Amino acid sequence: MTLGQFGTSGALLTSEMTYSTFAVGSSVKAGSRVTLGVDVSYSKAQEEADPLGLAASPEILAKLTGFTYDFSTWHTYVDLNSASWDATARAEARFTPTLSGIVSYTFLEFDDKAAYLTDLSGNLDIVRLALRWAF
Amino acid sequence: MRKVIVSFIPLALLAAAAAAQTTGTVTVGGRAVKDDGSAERAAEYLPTTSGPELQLALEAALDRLYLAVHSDAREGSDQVHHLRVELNRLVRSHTSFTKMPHRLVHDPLENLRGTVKMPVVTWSTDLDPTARYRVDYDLLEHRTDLQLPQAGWLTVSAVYREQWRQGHRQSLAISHCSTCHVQSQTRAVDESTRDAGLVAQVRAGSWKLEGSFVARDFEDKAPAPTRVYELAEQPALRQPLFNDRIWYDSKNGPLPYGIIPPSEKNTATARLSNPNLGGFTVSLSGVSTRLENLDTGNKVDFDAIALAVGRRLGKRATFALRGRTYTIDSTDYFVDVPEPKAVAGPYAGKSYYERYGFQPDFLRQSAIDRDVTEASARLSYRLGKGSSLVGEYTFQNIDRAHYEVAPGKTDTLTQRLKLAYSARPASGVHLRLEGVVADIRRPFMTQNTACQPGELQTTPVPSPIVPGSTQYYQIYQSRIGDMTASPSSYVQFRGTAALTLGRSTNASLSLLWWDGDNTDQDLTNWSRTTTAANAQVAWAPSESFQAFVAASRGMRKLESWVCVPLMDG
Repeated sequence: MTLGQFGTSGALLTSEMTYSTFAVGSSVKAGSRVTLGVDVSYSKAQEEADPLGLAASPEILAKLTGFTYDFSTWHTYVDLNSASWDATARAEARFTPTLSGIVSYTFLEFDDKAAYLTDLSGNLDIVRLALRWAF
Repeated sequence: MRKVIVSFIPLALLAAAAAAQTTGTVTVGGRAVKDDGSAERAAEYLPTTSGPELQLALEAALDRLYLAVHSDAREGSDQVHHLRVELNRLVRSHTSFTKMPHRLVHDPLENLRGTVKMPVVTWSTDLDPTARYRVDYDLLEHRTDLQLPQAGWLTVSAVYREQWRQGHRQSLAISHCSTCHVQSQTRAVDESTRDAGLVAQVRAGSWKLEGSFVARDFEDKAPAPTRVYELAEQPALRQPLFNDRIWYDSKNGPLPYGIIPPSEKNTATARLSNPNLGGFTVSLSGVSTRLENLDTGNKVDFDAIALAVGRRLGKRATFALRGRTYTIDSTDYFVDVPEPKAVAGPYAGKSYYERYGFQPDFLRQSAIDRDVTEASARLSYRLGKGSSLVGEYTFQNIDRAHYEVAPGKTDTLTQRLKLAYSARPASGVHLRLEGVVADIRRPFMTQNTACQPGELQTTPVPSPIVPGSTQYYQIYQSRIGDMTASPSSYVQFRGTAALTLGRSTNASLSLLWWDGDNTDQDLTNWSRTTTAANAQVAWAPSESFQAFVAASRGMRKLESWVCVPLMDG
């Protein structure tokens, strides 16, 4: 059984995307042997579509039995909403004129507030330790 | 990668022992990593494992040899290495190697599991539901310049570049009825792209001639994935009623899909220039490339020639003209569609063509085949100290060989006018304002590819194969709406301000507004508006302290048309 072909239903799709970023950083020599630094960035992105005015007449829907042309939640499928952090604090201390030590901590996070295909939220903590020899 | 590190270390030690002047640093350390949740976005291009880290920076200057090594190797396929060698000013060589991971998203396909109406369903199957996808990216680049003292007018260079992409990614195969059943599985990636070539540069007086030839080979050694497709039958009646419209099914066994063919690409360039030819700057250049699919023999040729001329007009003005024309020509390909005959139903023994008169065979001609001419004229005038006015007119005409962007028309003409004003209204303040107006006649769009207001079948019939049932090709042919994502006109304004506040503070602010739309289409409209703002302040009051703060904000509004079919069949 084929119930029929009744043309198409059309509507204007409107969507709005916004993004914001903020970054701050600083580096300071604390005395003759120690250098401290910090870098922080934050970004946020969002996309939203307006409800879609797709519709089908009751006469057509009466013929297309078993089909539902309900697009009331369709615009939510394309919602995107995410925020991310990238922050690092670091210190370098000079032990001798040629030997220094380095320590840093980095925090990375992606917050998927409106997961679409799959939730991509996650974060990392990274601690680094190193010795540097200059020659 | 190990070869690279092993070769760097002896070179560094050799230089360190022999060099009269050797400086550098060696950093030995490690990192501890704790991750939580998904790493596909938080660490898309970073390793997530704990392990050692090694850095080496070395510069050695001998009498005739200069050597510089910068090496940064981290656990987890995260490495950058540079090697620079200069020998007696005759040979200059630079080699770099980069390695990094790229994590890829795994789509669980849950949005493709909605039953529409039994037994017709939309469904998906993921054969590797727990797989985490990643492709490691390696890039080796090398260039060596040779310049002999006896022929100082000639420089010859050898260039080499090789890129590898190895790992696994998700692959999707759709069933006969488009997305009724989507199957996902892991696909291996083992690609290599190798470029090797020669570059020569000849100087004679104020003339300079440059030429190059680069040959590229591409290959994916990983086999294409395969799928066993569903049996070709009418899904409700479970009868072989669709054999006249389906080429293959489960009886053919596993069939490959997503095949990536090996290819070759040869690129030749030439450029002749003179910075002062009777007061004019002149540059004439040409490029010719050929890309060939080694499986099919299909080719794409690109040939371009460009001329740029500039001249100073008096003490305040400069004038520049640029022109370029290029062609893209690819092999036509005749697709001879297998046309099996129906084995059941009222039209048994007939092919789809014999039954409906629809010819499925076609000559594939690329939409990219085209002749393009583009030119610009630019006049710059210095108004006073620190201020100037620039006007620029640009046009581009794209004439496609096969693809129509309007009824009977294959060409797109873009004209753009730009005015820019720069000024220094006060000490430490630099302003720039720029406006652009563009008109695009017959912008790129697809004709009659969406929306079909009329009804084709208003009464039910027992089956899609009986007379009176609308066929897909009839639906496609009845569409009247055009679709695009390109404007027919747009305007753009950009403003920037740079401030120098005292000796220690710099600030900048930029604003952008772009507004374009396309009202040339049948039935549908398209428009986009973009605004963006950036601000930054940098403060460095002393050598021991510096700080910065930056922020940006942007917005994009988009309008496009959507059509969905009202049908069952």
